[in-house]
Amino acid sequence: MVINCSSDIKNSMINIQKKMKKKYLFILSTIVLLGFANCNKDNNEPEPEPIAPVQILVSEEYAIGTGLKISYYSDEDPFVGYNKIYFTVKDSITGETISNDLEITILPMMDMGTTQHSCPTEAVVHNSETNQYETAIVYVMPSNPGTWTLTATVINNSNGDSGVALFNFDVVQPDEAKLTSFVSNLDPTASYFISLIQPTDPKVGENEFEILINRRASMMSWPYEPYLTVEIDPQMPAMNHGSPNNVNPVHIGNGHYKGVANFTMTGWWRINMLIKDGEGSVLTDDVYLDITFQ
Amino acid sequence: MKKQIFFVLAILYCYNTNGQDTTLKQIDLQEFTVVEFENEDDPLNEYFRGNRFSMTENAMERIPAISLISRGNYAPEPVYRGFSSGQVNLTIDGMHIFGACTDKMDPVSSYIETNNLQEIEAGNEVNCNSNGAGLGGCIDMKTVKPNLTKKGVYGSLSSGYQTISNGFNVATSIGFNNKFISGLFSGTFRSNDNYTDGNGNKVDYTQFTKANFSAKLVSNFSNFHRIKFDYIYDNAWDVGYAALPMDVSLAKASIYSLSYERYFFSSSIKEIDFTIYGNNIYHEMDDSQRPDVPIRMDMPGWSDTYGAFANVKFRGLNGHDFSFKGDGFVHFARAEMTMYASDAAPMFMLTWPDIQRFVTGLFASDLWSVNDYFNLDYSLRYDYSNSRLQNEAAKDYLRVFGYDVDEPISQSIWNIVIEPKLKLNPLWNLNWLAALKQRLPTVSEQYGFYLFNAQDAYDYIGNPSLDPESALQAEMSVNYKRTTFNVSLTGFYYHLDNYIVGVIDPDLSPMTIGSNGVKVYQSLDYAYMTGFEASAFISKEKFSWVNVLNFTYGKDSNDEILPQLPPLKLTSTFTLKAKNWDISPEIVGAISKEEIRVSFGEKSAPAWLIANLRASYYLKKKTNWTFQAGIENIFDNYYYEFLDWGQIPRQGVNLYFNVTFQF
Repeated sequence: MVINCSSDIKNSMINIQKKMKKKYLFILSTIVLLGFANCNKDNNEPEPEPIAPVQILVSEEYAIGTGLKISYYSDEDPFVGYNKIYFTVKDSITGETISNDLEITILPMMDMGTTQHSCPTEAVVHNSETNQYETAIVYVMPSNPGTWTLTATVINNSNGDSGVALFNFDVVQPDEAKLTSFVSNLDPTASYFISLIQPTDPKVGENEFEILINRRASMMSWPYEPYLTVEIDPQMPAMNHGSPNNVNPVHIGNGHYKGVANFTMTGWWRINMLIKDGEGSVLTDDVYLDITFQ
Repeated sequence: MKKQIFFVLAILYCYNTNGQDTTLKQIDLQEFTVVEFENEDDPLNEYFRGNRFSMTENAMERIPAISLISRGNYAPEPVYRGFSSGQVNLTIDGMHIFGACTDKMDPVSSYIETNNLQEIEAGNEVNCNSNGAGLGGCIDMKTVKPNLTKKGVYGSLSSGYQTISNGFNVATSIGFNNKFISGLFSGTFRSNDNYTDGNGNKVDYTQFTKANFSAKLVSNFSNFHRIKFDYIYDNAWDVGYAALPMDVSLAKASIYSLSYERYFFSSSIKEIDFTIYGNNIYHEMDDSQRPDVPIRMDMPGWSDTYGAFANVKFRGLNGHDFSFKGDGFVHFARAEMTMYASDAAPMFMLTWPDIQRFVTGLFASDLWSVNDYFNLDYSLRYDYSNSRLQNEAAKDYLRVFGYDVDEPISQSIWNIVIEPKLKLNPLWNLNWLAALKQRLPTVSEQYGFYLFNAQDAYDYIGNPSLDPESALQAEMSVNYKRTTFNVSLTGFYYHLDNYIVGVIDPDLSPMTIGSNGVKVYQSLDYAYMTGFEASAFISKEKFSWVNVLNFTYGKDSNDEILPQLPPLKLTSTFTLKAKNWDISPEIVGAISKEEIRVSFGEKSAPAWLIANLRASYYLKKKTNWTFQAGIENIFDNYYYEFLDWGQIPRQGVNLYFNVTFQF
């Protein structure tokens, strides 16, 4: 196409063209800029705030001799496994919460009629933020038959009083076991107990995996075992597959072992464990904990 | 009236190269068009749409360089010269649209009916990139627009039956024109049972049923401004996929757009248009029809895309023909998998974990007529993309593999194409093409989570750190054109960098029962792809003869042949024409494919050849009737193409009848 026109008209036409070009290029660039503006917006949802679990009152008793009322709280009704326990101590007359200067020792007992035995416990520690005394107990079997009691011995250092509170409660077997046990390949008299601490709220993705391992030294003595190596292999038994990049738990103190278990989907996972002693000899390769979630 | 038609056609075909002879449609191997019902005088019509019954993809397959990967009898995946899915930019009217199935069971060509189509533009020339980056080329399915020249109400009704699958289809369209508005409404219904192969055996899981509805409205109040509204609804159900372990219970798409076009008749700008659009696809895989599955699964998928684009086309100036486009879209993809075992709680996971991808691009092209003998076409495109997983739960999935997906991934790609075209003399044309092409990794390649590939039986995991694939392309084509005789030969070579492929990770254990292992998408150093398309085309008054030959070959840096490369294939269609009828025998065949990519689970395929015979009879009075009948695979050959997954045999001898009534 050839355009014949004088240079004047040509120039003004070129000017008009330039203006029009600019106008429409402006529209184009606006569209593009709108696009860039969109990508700067932060569309991520805010992370949900973790909600502190509401504590359940399991039992309340007076520590006879101290004038103190002890309330035994837990995150759930007592179950076979690792139970986190919170004691709130109040003056039985004033109702005031006692914040410190107490020494509390605990002794859980299972009475099966012909025999009595205890179970693993942890030290009672005061939590200054919540004003509670915290501990944990691994109830190794359910009530029925047999009864569980918990004796809390309280020494009040501020006035020298001391007394004992005796709690009665039921321990249930949860639908999915949170405790498993094994006998050592190397020593048939050595029994070990593995209780699941985390995850309490499993999700797809990386989960902190924490367990406590105790050994039954005697009916009354259940010390924690710090010298083991634990290898985990999470599998889905219904599908025969595992997950990648799991981190074997390592000992972090007091018999607690912590690692990472990855779940690639919801459903029933079985955390298979291989337990070795300090020299690398296998104590068991046949123990597991199930975690099922939606 | 004639001027108006020409004008409308000119608007529609503005992507064509210069020097187009409007009396006879030329075959330009770099750009092919398929013409629908209206243009029966087009000599290519018989070649592309000989069987009115055929699906969109069958017409597409006739385009040189295009093959189809078949996973069953429905929704094959278009392949351009051996480039597939993420490497080919498949659009509808320039709109970006993506399938909702993680296993590629629904390439978007499956949501468009032949009744919706005006033309299919496929190729890799300069203007292809206006619709987006496409490493291996672009395929733009242009939907039919109301025919603005018809008076009053017009339309057609067509119905057909085919024996091979007890298949029945009916299609209708009704259009109207008045002073203010033109409209076109169409509907299609298809129903097919399982078909029989060349050995007389029924092939299970090859059935499908679908319905499609579309509405198009165009404003008529002015020749300077037009407002257009388009809507397509497509719904397929009870669809079998013989080569896959699952079928599809439901695949539905809603595709809609609103455009404004402004035409100028006396300024340097020819046209500007602005379109805003959206599409929503839902796809549900289903294994309830399969008797023996290791584990039952529900697998729904969602793909939603919203975007807008604006075009500015300039009138020719000093031989230049400039065009600009700005384009942006956002795409959301989510796919779930729930597995049911008899003795366990249901297992739920996301295979596309709430992916969001935003892409914006700018395109500029010039078709420069330097002089009477030489044209230089060139174009430039830049795209910026931002991809992310939309929430923490989605990110947790990919974190399991140690990926850092806290922040979105930003990527930029460039596409530059230069096409010198030399007219040696009135008969001979010599065209070259040099290009830098890049494409973004697909959302599956970036964020896919245990996507099972039935071809090699591996679970695939995405890789957020993948770089865009990049290609340097060189191409040359020689055309000899007389008014009734064309011969064309195009040879091409691609050097590919960061070629994306799944690589076995021996440390990962598979998830899908029966899977051989896990592959993670990685970038290979380089790969190359080469081949040619040849066509010879005679069109005389009494007969026409179209021949197309395709070949592709390529290897990666491990000296292994690239996956999904079709072997040398020939299509030869001869049509004998008379005033009221035509008859068209044709042969289609391919040589054997021996060299295969073992790591992709490919199996070699034998050579095959089939013959088809089609006939049409036209009755043109006040209303037009077309009667069609044909026999496909006349000799009832048992065959399958190399790209057919699972070596599922194709249809045996098929008799079909179509009747079309136009008013």
